[in-house]
Amino acid sequence: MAKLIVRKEKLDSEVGYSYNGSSYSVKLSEATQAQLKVLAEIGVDVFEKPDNKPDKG
Amino acid sequence: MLAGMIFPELFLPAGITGAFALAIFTQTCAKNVSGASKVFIAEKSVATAFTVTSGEISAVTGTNPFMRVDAMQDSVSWSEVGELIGLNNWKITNTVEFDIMPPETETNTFLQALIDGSPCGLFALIVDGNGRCWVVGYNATDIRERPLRLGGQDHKTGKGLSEAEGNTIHITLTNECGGIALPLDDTLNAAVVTTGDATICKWS
Repeated sequence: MAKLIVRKEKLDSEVGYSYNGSSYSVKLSEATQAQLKVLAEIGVDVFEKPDNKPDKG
Repeated sequence: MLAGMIFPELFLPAGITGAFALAIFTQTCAKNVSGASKVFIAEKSVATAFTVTSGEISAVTGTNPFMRVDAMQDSVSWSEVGELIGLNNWKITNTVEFDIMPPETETNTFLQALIDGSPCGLFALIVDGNGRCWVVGYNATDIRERPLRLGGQDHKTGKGLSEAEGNTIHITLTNECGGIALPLDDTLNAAVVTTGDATICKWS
């Protein structure tokens, strides 16, 4: 799976979610890739889309 | 030591928020309208995550998780009562109340869904008299651990035509938690109150 990148305007946000029967809150600027993958699985919409990346060259 | 003085929140245990220093509070010169006008309810299992930005809910994850509830006019209310426990603890009790009518098969279906959803928990979206939306059942301290439950349902036929509340069903959702409810941010708020097309709600 490609590296998940949080959109710049969402970096100051915090997401509260449930995972494996417990609740967690993660600050997006400090989240690990493992935590971001869980958020992506849940469907939290805070990630840069591949087509939003700036063109190279 | 220096880091602890500059970033005290780094050293707070998980689930404890206490980094707000007292600052000046300024009152807005505007009307303040009492009451609540609308209520929407989501099952905890459907509203899977809340994104909080600067103390406001900026996104709710889930497929149209908040269901529109057509409650009777001026029957919706939400109370948030804080109470000191011992010397150092603070408990908040939320109570959301509203009336629906008439007793019918559809009313039973709605009630049964609340009964079935209550063990896992519920969140309520309340539109207050000022047009501000609040999510009750979620807070920054408990996160999703202390949602609302169905606290009661009360249906009486009443004794005759002169009883205004006869054949209405009074519903109460309640919880005890450690944090205050959060408002929606202005964008989500407008989508619920002004345009009525917020994707966090199921409208029809």
